[in-house]
Amino acid sequence: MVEFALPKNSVVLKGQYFKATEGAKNIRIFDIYRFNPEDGKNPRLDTFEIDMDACGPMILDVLMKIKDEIDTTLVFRRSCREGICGSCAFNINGKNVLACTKKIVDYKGRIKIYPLPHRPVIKDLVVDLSTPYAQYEAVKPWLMSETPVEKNKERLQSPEERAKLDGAWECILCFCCSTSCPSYWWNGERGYLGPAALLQSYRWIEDSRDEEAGERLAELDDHHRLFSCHTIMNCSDVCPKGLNPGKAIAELKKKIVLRQ
Amino acid sequence: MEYKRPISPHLQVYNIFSKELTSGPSFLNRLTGMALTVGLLYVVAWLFCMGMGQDYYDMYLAFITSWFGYLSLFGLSCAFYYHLVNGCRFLIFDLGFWLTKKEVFLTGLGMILLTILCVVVTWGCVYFKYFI
Repeated sequence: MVEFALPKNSVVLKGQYFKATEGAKNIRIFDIYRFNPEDGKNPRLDTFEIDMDACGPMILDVLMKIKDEIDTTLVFRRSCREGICGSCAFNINGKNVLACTKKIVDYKGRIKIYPLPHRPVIKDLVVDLSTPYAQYEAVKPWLMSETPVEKNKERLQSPEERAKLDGAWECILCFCCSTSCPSYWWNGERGYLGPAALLQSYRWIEDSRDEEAGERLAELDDHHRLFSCHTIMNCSDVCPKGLNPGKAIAELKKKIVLRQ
Repeated sequence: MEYKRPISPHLQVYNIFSKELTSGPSFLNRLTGMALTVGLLYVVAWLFCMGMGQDYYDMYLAFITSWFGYLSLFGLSCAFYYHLVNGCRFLIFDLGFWLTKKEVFLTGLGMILLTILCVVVTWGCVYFKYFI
């Protein structure tokens, strides 16, 4: 049965309020989801007043400022700060984005920062992504080929064949898409692979050098694995790299119908 | 002791009905589908009363021409046209067309306008006794 409400231990309560330093003129307010597994309490929403004159332009700058200067216990993932590592994916004001590539001025009013939706929370903004990673592994994201290659030769590909992979290989596995998908919320644990894994499946099925496309499609041909996608299109809406997993999934469905 | 992690908020925080018209129309498609299932009872009752003879049929007519009857018919007509038009949009999605972000938005907008047009034309016909 689909659960619309949050279980008792996940309900978000009111948290602390951190006032800005005296004399700050340009203040913006940030609500941030906090959860500490060690205090035995429910998650809470802490509010921070941040002086914009002493802060960088991106959402990630705010989180770093809080960790550096206000509350060092704030936990979040981040690495490259330029939208290529896919670590700092959060739900900000209702949409999944990368905090490092999102400008603060793009939002009006209060800014609410939550972890990626419908995932088990490890601490604060860090969620457990082992299921999406396992699903990524399940689509066998590597080249599978029976034909032996001659020594010191490459597997060649025409520019046209290579062009088919554009829009699929750029995925950084931030899982903004999978965790934006209502179907993934309800069916992710039951076998639905989610847009991120399916886009990678598509990437290998489309690859002219890969020889296991039939086998890969047979693996996907399942009520849940592929067909729990209902073309909701939240995935393509939120992808911070501008990719289109929804379209790739539609192509996969078409391929499965056409091979029968 | 088994430790159970909390689940991060989903429906509670996600902008389902965002202006990009992605999950919103899809969500409504389910709701209207459920409404139409209930609406099927109206049809069953109609056929049943027709089979039971004049008295029952008059009773059904009295019910369906009451304010509540009209209101539910109006609601059901909205649900019907929405489900029909958006359903066609989804069928076209499944053929692999209209799946860029921009097209999803534009077809969503078109779908809403077409639904409103269908409802207005239908009830216009009823009001002006066209086709009746």
